[in-house]
Amino acid sequence: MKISIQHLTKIFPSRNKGEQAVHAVEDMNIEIPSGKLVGLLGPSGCGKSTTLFMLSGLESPSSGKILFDEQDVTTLAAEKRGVGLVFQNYALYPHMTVEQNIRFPLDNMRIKREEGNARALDAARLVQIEDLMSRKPNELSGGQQQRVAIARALVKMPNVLLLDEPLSNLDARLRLQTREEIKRIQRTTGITTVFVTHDQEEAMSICDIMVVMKLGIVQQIGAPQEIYDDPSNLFVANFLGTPPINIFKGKISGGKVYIGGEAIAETPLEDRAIFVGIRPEGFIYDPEGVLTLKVDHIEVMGRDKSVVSVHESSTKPTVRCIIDSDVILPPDAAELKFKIKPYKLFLFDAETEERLR
Amino acid sequence: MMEEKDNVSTPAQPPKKHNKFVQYFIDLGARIKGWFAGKFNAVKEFFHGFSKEARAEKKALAAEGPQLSRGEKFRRGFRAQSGWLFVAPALILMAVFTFYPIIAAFIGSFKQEYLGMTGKFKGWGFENFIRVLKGDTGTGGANFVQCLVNTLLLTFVSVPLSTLLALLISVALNSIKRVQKAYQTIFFLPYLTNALAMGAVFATFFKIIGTVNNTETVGIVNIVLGWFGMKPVDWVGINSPVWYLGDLRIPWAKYIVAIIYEIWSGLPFKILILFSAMQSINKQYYDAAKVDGASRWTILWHITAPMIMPQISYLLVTGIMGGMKQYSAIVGLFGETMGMNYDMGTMVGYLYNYIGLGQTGYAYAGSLILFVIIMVITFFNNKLTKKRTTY
Amino acid sequence: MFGLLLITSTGVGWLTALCVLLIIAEIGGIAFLGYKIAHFGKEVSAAVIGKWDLSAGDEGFDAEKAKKIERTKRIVKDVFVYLFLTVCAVLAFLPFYWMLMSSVKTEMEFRESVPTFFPHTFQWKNYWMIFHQVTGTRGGASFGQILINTLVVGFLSTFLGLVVIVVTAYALARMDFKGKNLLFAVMLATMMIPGELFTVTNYITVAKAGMTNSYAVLILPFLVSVYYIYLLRNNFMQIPNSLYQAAKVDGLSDMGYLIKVMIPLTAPTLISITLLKFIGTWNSYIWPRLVNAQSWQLITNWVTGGFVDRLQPTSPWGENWTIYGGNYGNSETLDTLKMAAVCMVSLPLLILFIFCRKYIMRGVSKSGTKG
Repeated sequence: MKISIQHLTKIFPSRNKGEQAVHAVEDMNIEIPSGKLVGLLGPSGCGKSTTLFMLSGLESPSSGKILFDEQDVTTLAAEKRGVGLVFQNYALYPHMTVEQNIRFPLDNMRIKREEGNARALDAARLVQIEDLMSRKPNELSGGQQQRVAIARALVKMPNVLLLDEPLSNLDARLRLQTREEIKRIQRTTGITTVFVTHDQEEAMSICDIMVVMKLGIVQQIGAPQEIYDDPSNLFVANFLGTPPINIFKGKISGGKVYIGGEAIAETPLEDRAIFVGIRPEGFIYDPEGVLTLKVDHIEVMGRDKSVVSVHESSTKPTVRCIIDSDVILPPDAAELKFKIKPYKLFLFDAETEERLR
Repeated sequence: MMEEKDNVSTPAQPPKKHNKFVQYFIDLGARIKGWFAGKFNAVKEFFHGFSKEARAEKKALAAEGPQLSRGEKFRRGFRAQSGWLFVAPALILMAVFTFYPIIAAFIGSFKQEYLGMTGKFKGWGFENFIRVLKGDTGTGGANFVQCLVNTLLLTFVSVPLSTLLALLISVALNSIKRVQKAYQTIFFLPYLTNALAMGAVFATFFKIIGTVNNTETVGIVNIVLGWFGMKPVDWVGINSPVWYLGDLRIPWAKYIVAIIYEIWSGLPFKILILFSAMQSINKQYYDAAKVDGASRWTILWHITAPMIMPQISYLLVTGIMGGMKQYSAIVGLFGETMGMNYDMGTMVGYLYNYIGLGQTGYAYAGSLILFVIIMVITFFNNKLTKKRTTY
Repeated sequence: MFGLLLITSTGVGWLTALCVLLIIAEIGGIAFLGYKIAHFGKEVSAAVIGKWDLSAGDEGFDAEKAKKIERTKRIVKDVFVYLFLTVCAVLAFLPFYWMLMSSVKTEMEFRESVPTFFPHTFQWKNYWMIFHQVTGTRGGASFGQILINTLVVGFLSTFLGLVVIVVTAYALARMDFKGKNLLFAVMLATMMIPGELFTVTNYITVAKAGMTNSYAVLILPFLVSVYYIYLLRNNFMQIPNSLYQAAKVDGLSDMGYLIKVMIPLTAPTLISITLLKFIGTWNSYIWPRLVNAQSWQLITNWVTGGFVDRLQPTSPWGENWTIYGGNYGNSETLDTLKMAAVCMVSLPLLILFIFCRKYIMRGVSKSGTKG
């Protein structure tokens, strides 16, 4: 099912007089093609969960429209939208067994017992919990509860599957595994899926389309790699990538990009103050290089090593450069020089923080 | 420049110092003001919902939002306030049986010679209160001061004793490992009893039973006392010993019986609360104390006791509240007239006595005095418990 | 041993079985204590002998000796603790035992100058007498009538009360409406006021409304219990909001959510409230006596009538007082009958307690209210 969000806005009115109303989501426009896995990404309080709840019908928008396959569902109640929702804490009914939990939506739809049982079993098989059907939620591990929650969302064959921070309550190992599981389930069922996360790695690894949000405003929409390679502003560049991008204060002067006193690249842009972003993997060690960094220490990771250094123009305490472990660095060097890969270098306006191209 | 200098030269006005006593009342005044302001704001906010501004605000918000059909709008509006529908039964019942009686009691207590059933009264004034406190009701009913003294005496003797005994039993219970559950159950048994019925059982322990073929026989308490060479005492009957303090009667033998009963009947609840509080103390504290070489008593007084202080003060408060309202046990022990001519009367007993006599005005006045006494005790309790429960 | 004697001497009766049940716990405690004391004797002698042995050896710290002393100390402490608990338990239980035993004694035996710990002869007729007290001051009410009164009032007030409590607590916990917090604050404030203040007016209200001598008058004034509403509301509020949202997405109405999710989740509290409410009806004495004539009163009123009045049953089978023999004054109440009456109000509560101990104890420790 195709989802289209048009000028969606949510304002939470102020509780007390004199307080500002909170604009949780502002003028959001997204087209989600059918059968895609979409990630809403952003720091906490950016309105991503509110968006999800508006899609599910639990919150009603202040203005704007939500269309499912050209049909306006903006004022439609949650139960009539045919959405499946997986909650952050799973929200399993503690007094019901796994089977009863999964069958619960079907019972409410007054589906016949035999059919309901069959569908519940199918859903359980899909998430591989068919052996746990007679247990209660508190007898399950976090990962198993998560699967039950997904099965409960899937059993009614929803048009749209919504997941609210689906991996945040799992430990690191399970998170990796479940992440792949979600991708697999989404592929097999072909259900348009929207999920919310604050973990950029998680979003990048499984999304078809990623929506980066900040303070209720959509910053960028696109495929994960696209956004990573071509961020539209400083926030997006900063938010994506581990280790994070290095940011320097710099300027453009006479067609050259300066960090401190060093010109590191040429540019056709006009003179102005800028932020220079360089991805950690964008450095090439070269004694003839354009940027000089004071080395603090070097971390050896096996596959590659990272040079942790300091630079007075850096907006962060340290600058991190990831280079191949084959590269031989001069021992005990206090300073190293680097060349910069041009496609890993991004320029941002110092005032608007917008990308300069 | 001048202005600045001026500002600097003026010394900051030190807050005027009052003595402790005055300061206390100033603080109290501020607190009361704050409390009323809070309530007032709540009321204001409630009515603000109906004001023009609020409606306009809402309208503006609604205009921005998705357009709803009129039916849908009504449905949503109805749903938003449908909570009142849910609380309506409780609210109606409370209006009739709770809120109205409060108002009626306040008004009725000022009606002289008020007979509730007919609604007749002679005039307004404080006469009811004066007569109740003087014991001059002229109806042959219970004496208020007697009832008040009885209630306070019984409560303030039996509640601390009962709590102390419960504490001892709970500590003992907590220190054993085997058959703990069985003991716990036995100690809790007396909870689920009928005060009236068990009062009657206690009375048989104490009473002079009567005569069989003209020989006097006595209850087990007197028999046990007889082993120590004591003469049987009529603990609960008509010949029970009484001391006189002016008009006030001190039926000490009956007091002892009532206090023993109160201790017995108060134990189960207190043990349950204290024991479960002790059980829920984190075992780590005990382990840590043991490692630090604390003795059994040190652990009891420095770990267990402070940890269960909230429960102890809770028990004292509820115990005293319950004690102020005791009545059925007294009827069970001493019969409908609460001893000889109400000499074991309690405050609640006093109310029922005057309801029975149809003297509504006196009953109201008595109930308001009871209310005030309970409020005063609550106030002091709060003061005390606030101090004690901080650890 | 005791139990066997009991069964053989009287035949199997329901009361016997119950007595055995109640006494077993007691005997168990005493037997355990006996075991402990015997054990203690052994330990002490061992300790003393050990001391002798050690005194022959050299002085100074001896781990073995310290251990032994420590152990002796612990055993002494244990014996004291168990002794204390057992004495208290016996005293706590004594009234029940006395009540049970006295209720089946003959009046002659009850009045012996040295009381018997266990009845020589069992006179079940005492209970029969209580069942058939019908005339005179009893206002013509039969036991059957009173039992029906109690059950009807108990069932209705418990059921309706629960409905009101659940619905109100739900609205206060889950729903959003104007003035909710103000309403809740006012409700809580009424808990400060002693209930007796209401009784005076309520009596006049129901009397003027002509509601006396009815079931309604016993049910309506006590339907709303602010404390239980408060308790349940807090319980409801502990249920995470996401469950509600999940239920919404799953297509459940508000009512459906209440019935299918909230009530099952708060079942323990609800059961506790149910039991305590029913017990409240069973024990209620003052209000029914005030507003209703005897044929409309409840079990406690009826049974305790025997406390004050001389029982004068007229038996349909021509029984009379001769079985009580002796020469009692006409104004005297018979204590054995009184105890039989007491048993009749107390035993059902004890049985209820044995079966629902968990819920009652949970409810009590949570609510701290009686009945």
